[in-house]
Amino acid sequence: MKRRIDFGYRFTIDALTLFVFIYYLNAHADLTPPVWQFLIVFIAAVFGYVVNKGIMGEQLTLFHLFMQGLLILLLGYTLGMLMFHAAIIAVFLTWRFIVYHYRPDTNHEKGMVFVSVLLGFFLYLPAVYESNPYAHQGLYIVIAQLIVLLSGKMLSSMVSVEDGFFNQWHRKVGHIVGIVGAVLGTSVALFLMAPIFIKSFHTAFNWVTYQLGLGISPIINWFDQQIDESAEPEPVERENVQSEESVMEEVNNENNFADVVSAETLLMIIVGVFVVALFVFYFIYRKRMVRIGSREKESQQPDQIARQRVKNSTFAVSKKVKPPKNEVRKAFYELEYWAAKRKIGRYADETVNQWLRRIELDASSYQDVIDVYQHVRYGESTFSENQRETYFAQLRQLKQDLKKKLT
Amino acid sequence: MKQFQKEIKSGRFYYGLAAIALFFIFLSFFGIFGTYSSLMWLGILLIVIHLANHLYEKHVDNRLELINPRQIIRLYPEEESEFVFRLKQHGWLPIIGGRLILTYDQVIEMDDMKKTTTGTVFEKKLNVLGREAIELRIPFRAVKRGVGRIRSVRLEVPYLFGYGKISLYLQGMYRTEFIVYPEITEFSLSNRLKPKKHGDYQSNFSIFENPTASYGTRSYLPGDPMNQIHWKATAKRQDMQTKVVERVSQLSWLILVNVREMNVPSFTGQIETILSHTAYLCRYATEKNIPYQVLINVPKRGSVPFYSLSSGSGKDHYAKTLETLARINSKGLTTDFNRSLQYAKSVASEHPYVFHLGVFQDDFLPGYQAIQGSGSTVSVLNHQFQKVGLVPLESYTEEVAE
Repeated sequence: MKRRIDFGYRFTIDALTLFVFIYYLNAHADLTPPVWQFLIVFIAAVFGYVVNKGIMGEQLTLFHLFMQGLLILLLGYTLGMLMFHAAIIAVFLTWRFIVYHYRPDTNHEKGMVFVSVLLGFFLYLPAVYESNPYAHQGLYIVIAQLIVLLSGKMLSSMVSVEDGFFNQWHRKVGHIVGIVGAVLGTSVALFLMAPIFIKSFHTAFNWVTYQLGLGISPIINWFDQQIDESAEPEPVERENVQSEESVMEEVNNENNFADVVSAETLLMIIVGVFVVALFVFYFIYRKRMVRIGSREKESQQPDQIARQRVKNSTFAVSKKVKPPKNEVRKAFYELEYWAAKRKIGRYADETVNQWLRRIELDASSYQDVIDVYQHVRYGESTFSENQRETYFAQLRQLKQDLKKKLT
Repeated sequence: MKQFQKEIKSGRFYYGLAAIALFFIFLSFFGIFGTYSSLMWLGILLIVIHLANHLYEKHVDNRLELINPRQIIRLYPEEESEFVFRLKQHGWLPIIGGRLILTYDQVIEMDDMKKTTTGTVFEKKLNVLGREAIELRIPFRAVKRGVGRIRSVRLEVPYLFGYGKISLYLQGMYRTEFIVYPEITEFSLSNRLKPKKHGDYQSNFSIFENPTASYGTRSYLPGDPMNQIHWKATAKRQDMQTKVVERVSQLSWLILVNVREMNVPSFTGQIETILSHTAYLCRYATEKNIPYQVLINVPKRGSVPFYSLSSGSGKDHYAKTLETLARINSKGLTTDFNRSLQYAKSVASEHPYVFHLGVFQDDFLPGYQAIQGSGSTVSVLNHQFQKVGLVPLESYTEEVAE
């Protein structure tokens, strides 16, 4: 059931991506976008595929899918779509059917949604510029696609659990509908309040720029005065000063800040700030990722950064400590020495358990090593042959796992 | 205090869309696209999705409770049972398509298990809706003697809208313990275990009597002691009546188990067989209502520095014995058996029968001879020609000498 649901919502997302393109293609050509035609073609294509697969099963081949594609093309053209558009739809849907048939676990949803969002935006801009009446509705397709993505993801996760979807199905469906509804509802509520936010933003921005302008106006006036003194006689200057003063008075008396800075100027400023901020964040992020990457490659370092985590700790094993003579202890010493040279060794104030936990290995799977080592180290110095074999086997496994940690 | 430690692995998809959404919203602020542009709506929707994901990531485990009672499940090898794993979400945030991963000790085996480099792991997918509690019944089978625990509990919660997961690690131990008793391996018990000495063991044929435990009267026979005359019954019947009392004797066992290898301080390779035989011996004693005491040369804190089960009888005592035998860790330490023997000498007088299980070394002989000298009979569990049985100490030492 999970596979069917995955196919269903992913195919729908793919189809909606295509539909964004077809929609705006028609809108830009001053044609009515073929909404219901596309819907019929989509439903017919899915139905045809399901029936085909049901009948043919594993014997469904590329030939059958191509034939299906031809039928989709004919149907689209018959419903009134342009031949070119019908062909694009047929090719795209057939391609997706082929992909899902031969690789059922295909997951291109991220790419499709991303393409939809960008495609929608770049096709929306010229449509709005041309005052196309269909411009806004095109983006509703992207919104619908996002809703399909959210619902599909949750439904797919839900049915992947083996307790059976139909066990308390009404609660499960309720949760999906409720969550998606809440997200959609919140976005609609905020959207309806958008004019209030826009007006507040404009008011605030203009007020700020006005105050800034007011603040630096004496300096501007002084500069103007210097220029005027050198060029013209005083009466003229006085008039200019008076006219400037009256202009300033007029501006002061006006309560409308909206005329100080035009919308286009604001747009340019904000876009410019945004682009600069994007570049700055990108370089900071890249630098940070490079630093993290190099730190991970060098693994734990007993330099100041690593030392800060374990205060005043040195490795338990170093060149100064002589290896013990006992076979078990010597093997463990060699492993610790090897690990210490690669900066993932055990610290002197750590137990073996703490060390393994720190480097994110499950101590319980090396319990034999720990027990035998402690038994020999703190108890008697001998052990059985069985124990010896288990000990060395697990020690080898531990070394392999430590090597994996380094890569 | 939160029960879980959280680790987040978030995908970048919704972050990327949120960044694009901010750009859409900024553009829409300038009225170029009209007051209610769908670009603004799209941007707001993407931001709301990202925020919803972020809120989910932050708060999903706030009111999540793992019901972790202390419980001990006891069973024999190859027995099957199940334990119940309970998870309760007090909040509204559901866990959809989550994965429960348990790492456990190998004394048990669960279905759907996987053996990985980091241990034996059990995985199960689950849904926990808002304000819901779930119970997962996890069947398992006991594999070998020992004490096992669930070493780690991890819950992987995928993001509601995908592209990331939250790993919740249970802080502290999962308190369910699995105790797998040793297998019971029968062997032939000597029929020469007859009651000896005066004690509390009821016996049909014993030279000892318990004068306080009278259960009837009989006609007086010449030679009956005067203090056994039942005067009241005599007055009633007008005929001399003697009390009939229970016959008792002492039939308690002292079981000494040596878990060490010959001349080597580690556990013997035959430890499981020895413990199986010990369990059988204790079961036999329990069935016959024979009190017994067990000494095992494995170190333990307390006034007696090794495992010492004080004398007792009955099912409770047997259960305690089995649990003790189960808890012996064959990868741990052992103590010198002579210390157990030394202690045994001080208590042997209370036990007419002493049994030795495990490796027998020559240097134990003087200790056992001293025990025999105090009146107890010492028998050794002998493995010979695939036949296992208790033989008297003298016969054992002769056979070994041969």
